[in-house]
Amino acid sequence: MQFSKLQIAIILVIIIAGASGGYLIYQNIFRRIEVKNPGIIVYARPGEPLSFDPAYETWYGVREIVQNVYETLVFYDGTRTDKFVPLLAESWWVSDDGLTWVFKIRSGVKFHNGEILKPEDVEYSLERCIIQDRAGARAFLLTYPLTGISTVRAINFNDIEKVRELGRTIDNAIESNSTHVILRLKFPYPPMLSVLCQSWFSVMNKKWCIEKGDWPGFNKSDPKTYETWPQWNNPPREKLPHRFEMCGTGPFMLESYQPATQTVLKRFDGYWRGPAKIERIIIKYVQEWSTLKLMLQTGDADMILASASYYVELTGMEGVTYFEIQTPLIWYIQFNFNISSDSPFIGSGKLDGNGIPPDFFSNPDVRKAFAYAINYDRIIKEGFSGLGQRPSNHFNLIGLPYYWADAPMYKYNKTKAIEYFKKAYDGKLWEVGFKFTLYYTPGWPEVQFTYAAIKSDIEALNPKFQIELRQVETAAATQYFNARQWVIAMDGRKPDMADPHNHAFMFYASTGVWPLYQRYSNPEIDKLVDEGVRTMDPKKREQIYRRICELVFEDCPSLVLIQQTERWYQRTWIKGNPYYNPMFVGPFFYGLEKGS
Amino acid sequence: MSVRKYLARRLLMLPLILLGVILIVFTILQCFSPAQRAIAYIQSTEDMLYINDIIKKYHLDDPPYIQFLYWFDNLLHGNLGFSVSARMPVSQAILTFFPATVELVMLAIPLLLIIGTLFGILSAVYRDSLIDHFVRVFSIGAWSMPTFWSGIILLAIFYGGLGMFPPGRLSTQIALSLIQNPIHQYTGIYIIDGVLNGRFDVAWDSLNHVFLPSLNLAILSSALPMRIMRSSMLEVLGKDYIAAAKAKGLSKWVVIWKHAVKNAIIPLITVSGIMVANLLTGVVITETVFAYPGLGYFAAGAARSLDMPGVLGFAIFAAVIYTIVNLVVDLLYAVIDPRIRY
Repeated sequence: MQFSKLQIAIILVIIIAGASGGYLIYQNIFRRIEVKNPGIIVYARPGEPLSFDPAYETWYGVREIVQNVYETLVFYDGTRTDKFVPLLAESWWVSDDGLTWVFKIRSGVKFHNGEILKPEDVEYSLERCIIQDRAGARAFLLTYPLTGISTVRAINFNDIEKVRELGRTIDNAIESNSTHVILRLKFPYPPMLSVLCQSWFSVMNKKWCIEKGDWPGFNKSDPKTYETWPQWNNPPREKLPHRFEMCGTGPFMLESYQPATQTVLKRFDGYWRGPAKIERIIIKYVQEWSTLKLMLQTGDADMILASASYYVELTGMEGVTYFEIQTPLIWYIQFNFNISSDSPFIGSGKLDGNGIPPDFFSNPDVRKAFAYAINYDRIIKEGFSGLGQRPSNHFNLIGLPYYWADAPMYKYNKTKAIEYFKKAYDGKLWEVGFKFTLYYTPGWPEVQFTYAAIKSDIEALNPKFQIELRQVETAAATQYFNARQWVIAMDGRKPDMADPHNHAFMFYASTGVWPLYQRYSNPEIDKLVDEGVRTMDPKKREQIYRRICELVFEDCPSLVLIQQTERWYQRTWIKGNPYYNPMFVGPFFYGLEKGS
Repeated sequence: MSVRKYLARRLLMLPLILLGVILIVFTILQCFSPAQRAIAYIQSTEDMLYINDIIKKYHLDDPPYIQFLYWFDNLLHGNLGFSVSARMPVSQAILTFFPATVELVMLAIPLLLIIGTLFGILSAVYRDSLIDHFVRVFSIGAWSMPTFWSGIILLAIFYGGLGMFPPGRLSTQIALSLIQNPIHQYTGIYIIDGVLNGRFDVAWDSLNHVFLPSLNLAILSSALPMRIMRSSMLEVLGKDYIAAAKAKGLSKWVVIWKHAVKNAIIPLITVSGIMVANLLTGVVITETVFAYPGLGYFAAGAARSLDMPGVLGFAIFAAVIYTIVNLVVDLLYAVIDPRIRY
């Protein structure tokens, strides 16, 4: 075979290019990565904020920015979740009956616009959160103890008398003078300080908000203000007056936000605790995992947000370290007690071996059989990289007050699982079997793995038990969920505050979010949950939560799979741990340094 | 028909085409239930509890014609509505993301046309030779390679391995310098704006970032022009006039360039028009892998969350782009081949 000159030239070019490329790769494997962007921390993560309004947003990607830009009255002490330190409140005291909380506001604190913090800013911010009350947000955490109702939308906004009355109630519940802010509660509320630590109750500059077109606040000399506040209730996101602007007192101020690209935070030199050591924080929005990983590897990102399933890819990466923290983040599955009869996931809709009846999971024996049939250790080991422990329920969590290590819980036990399956429906279930479908959405490897594990564990018990798995698009999943067509739902969640009440209410009280979805209720639990949040005596509270632990074990409306140990990965040249408190929702950059 | 008349007729068709596109896209969106279309507003499981509130607030369960009128009213007032997925008005989103895509395509198109045309010609001229085999294998490989995979491989080699061509649109330092000292945005295309403002560092940095995603697009998209050029050239090279030109004693490359390529390139122009329009209206996967915020990123986000104003706005924009590009292609025929008349 003879080669023409052109062919020889092409072959030579390919050989030279290949050799040069190989040499460069060889060089780079052994190269020492130098610190890039000194004085700047680049944090890359997926997702993107929808707004920066601290009262409005619940997504962690926004809240982690809020916790660096805004501040609350108090915060958790170091790594603790049961002790608090003053932040914008210099000190505080509570009346003996637990109904009045008084906060002395720190003097000399500056907002990012140069204004000095005044107690009326605190009053305005808390009242603004209550009246804004975006459906699905967390204003209820404060609205409930201050007004006795969970949402201001509980009243009819067309009834001006009621609107006026509620306006005055809110205004009287939160008052300020030149030095203090006073909160007047409807009943004693032990988690009050924990609530006030949360980003939704961040302190904003009243003057700045009003200048931007936000709610003007209550004014005792202007009765109209008690009637007009519903105009600012539950606004659509695009109508937020300072959607992508911020003005807080925190160590960093918002410098710019570029959609689909980045958020830049700049050091606030007038910060009351002294300026941060880092000049700027750049939060880059990168949706593709491989790109995120390469950015950390090359040092273009100093830290990245990684879910548990990716930890294994980062561990051992040169120049990268991690911190481990036992957070109250839990993953759980919920049973639907009353599935819609038109659900496409319940087969025939009958107990005939080709489906399940819509009320399948209202049968306690079925729920307990599932609870014993699942190999939790395997899910933790293989689905969550072995990082975490199994809690007994949603609220009895390591690191949270009143944790009960010996609380009853279901453990993997095939014999007991078979026993309960045989007991259910007087033996008919075991005899005819069942069939249903679990669906999951893309991008959630933990859910996909867990469902596959449940399928194999259940099907191993009886060949007549069949669980099918199906991937569906997020939009379709929303539709199925809303139409109550789901059979079992899996989700992950961190409590809104470091107190058992939050999850006890949300997952077990009949008016909580999940029991409403599931159609689950237990009047005794309802009573105890309400009693628990109104009892100031810690001993009595402990007893109440232990009793709820026993009751939820007996009812088994849902199962908690893991309380996750999270890992925070960053380059070794970043000095300091930005994720030291379990209640943080992301990195807290103040105190970090970038070394060489 | 004169070119002017032809042009006027085509442009007059544009509103009709747009109306058709709007109606089709709107009808498709209406096939999704209000609950499905509410996902753009739902961020957590708790939000699901208030889904009916969301549906009411955003008129998602109003009769379709009412929803259409809401949207059309916005259009008559000069805006395309608010895109929840882009977090800004649709027109602003298009203005924000389109220049980035143009920048990407601006580099990708010449690359892919050069690679495609050149290798297509060589493959035909040296039929059944080593180079022909290489081109055929390459074009099949490139055509069947997933964009996602090739993007990651390129990133791993050049960025991860060699530390070159980082993802994103600008480096951290340059992006920061632009926040502190903004440049005048003539086009939104950093390579051009950087040069026009005398900020060559910005232009160079942008080129450094856009090169790899452009190369990815060029490699993958060059397969089609390569194959079209090859088969078209093979056909032309077998024509009598080529034999006549050769018989006249013209050199091999003069025959190829002056006689064969000029005639073989017409099918390529037709395809190029569609390719350019395709690329301009967004290259979702490449933009996602390279963290490059272009129109594809916007369109994919809008489609994923069934963001009606976003999807409709994008569809209108894409229809305009396709119409204009096709018009330009039609006019180009006449320039290249004087036999073609309108």
